[in-house]
Amino acid sequence: MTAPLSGLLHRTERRIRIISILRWAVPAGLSPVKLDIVHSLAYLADALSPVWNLPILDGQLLKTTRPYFPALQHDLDELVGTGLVEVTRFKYSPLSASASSWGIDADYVLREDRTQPIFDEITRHPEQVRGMEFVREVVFAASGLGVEGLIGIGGLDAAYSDPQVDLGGLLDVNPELGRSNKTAQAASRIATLISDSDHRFSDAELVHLYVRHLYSRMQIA
Amino acid sequence: MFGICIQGCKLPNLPFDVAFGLEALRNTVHSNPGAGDDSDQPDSIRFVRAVAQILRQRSLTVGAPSPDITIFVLQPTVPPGADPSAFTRQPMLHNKNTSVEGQLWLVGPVAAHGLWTSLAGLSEDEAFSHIENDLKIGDRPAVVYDSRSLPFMFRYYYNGIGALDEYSEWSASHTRITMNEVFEVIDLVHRSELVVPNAQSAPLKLWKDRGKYIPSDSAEVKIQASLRSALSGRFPTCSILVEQPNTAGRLDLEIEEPDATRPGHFIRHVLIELKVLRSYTIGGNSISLATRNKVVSEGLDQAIAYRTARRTLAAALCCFDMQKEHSGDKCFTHVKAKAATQGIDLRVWPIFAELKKFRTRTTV
Repeated sequence: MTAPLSGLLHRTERRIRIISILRWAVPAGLSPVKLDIVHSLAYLADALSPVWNLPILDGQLLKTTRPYFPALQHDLDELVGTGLVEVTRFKYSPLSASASSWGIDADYVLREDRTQPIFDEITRHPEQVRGMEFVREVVFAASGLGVEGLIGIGGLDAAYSDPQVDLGGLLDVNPELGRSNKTAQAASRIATLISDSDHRFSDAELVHLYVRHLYSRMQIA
Repeated sequence: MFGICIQGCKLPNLPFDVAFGLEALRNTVHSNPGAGDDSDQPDSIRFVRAVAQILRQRSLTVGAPSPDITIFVLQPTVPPGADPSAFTRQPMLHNKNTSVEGQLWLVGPVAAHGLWTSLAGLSEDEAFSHIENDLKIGDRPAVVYDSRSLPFMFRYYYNGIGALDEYSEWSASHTRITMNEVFEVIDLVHRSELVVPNAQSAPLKLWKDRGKYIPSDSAEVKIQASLRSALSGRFPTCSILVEQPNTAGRLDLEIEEPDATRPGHFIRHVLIELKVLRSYTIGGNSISLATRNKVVSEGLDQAIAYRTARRTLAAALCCFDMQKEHSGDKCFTHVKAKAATQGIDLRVWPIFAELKKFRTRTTV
């Protein structure tokens, strides 16, 4: 019984992650959210989860030009099917300038009237509330990257842009015990700067400062 | 090798220890003071704090006056009915090099990115009218930045620019925060949220058993959270730190501000040590006068130690009197001389268990 239940819980957690992203995208000014950006934000949330001591939902993914999680897309499609999420724009378009491969391009919004009972239930569970707050900070901070930066998160983020993992290789942000992914590692390095300012950074500050560091990488470009 | 183009430019493939090395990260921390430090605050407070940080940076980067007014509105999307093509999206608004002057900005709570349209050539009245009558967002919290002449000022219309008389105003440059300003904030919180049980919202219930004058064991933490929120809104360019560890222990509240002239350094304006004075323990046992005096003495010693350790400019011991019979300033009699010598301010606020007693006291 344990494995199927674990799978069900995992899928539930992933769906909560998706609706949380879509929910916080509204005040962040990112809604309706492009498909690529849903995946980018989900990736960033996973990569930064260790900073908040939260579990990583999808630790392994195939490294392509931008983050994409087939399981997450499946759950997102099902959320659309159940009417909790609405597609406001949809088209089939080339994935790259060479047009060698095609894929869907869509914008998503949350059906707030239908998802409110879910959020009401979440408020009764402190660990889920913390997860919601974490996603809020990731979305708020990452909104500053703009659409281009979010779509190009793969080239900015410490773990995803790791040159040791080639395109087509397996990227693992949830490596074996005792090691951390490079994104979380960079955020943790910020925490070590405490001695400079005699100021202990909160988990939220580490998320914001990490993403602000990605801003500076964009500015270099 | 993996590389990616963003905004038409290929990112340099720097090794991890360079791109995310301590030196690079330190630069980011120094350039982004206060980022994310208000995540526990409501959107309206986060908004004014984020905008204040942007304006502070801009006032330092662009010293010369700008001919036009600048307005930020807490409205992350183009309002219904308005023409979206009139607005341009701008990422990384916290970048001090992003020109914000002479524009209307629609932003979210952390103002990380925004939509802008020009206000060039519009008077303040015309700009306000545009926001209120054309865009119909005159009820949204707004910050108006006036950099037309020195000193640059910004005003926070917490109920929107539709409520013209309801605003707070700050200078965009550094100013010394006085203890009296801090006491004014505490007075306000005390009056509106703490003084009587009716004023205390559900999460801020300070009494475990009002009838027996037993305070909640988390009364101090709740008062601290309430003060942090109010101070965050009142001093938007400052970080309001709580429970920061230091060599002398853990301080209760501190107001600090990044020193714009020395990146990575802070001006520590005010430190506050909080104490709740009780007549009874959480279990209902009576607390002696000697024990209460010891609490006050310890509070003073902590304030002195923390201020010395952190070189804070001013410090105060703030007591919240939840005793059956309020002692007023008498609770400080045994420490007054020492506090005066050390330059620590002392202040006490009464918290009533019954509305009736409060009315009697205020009527008298």
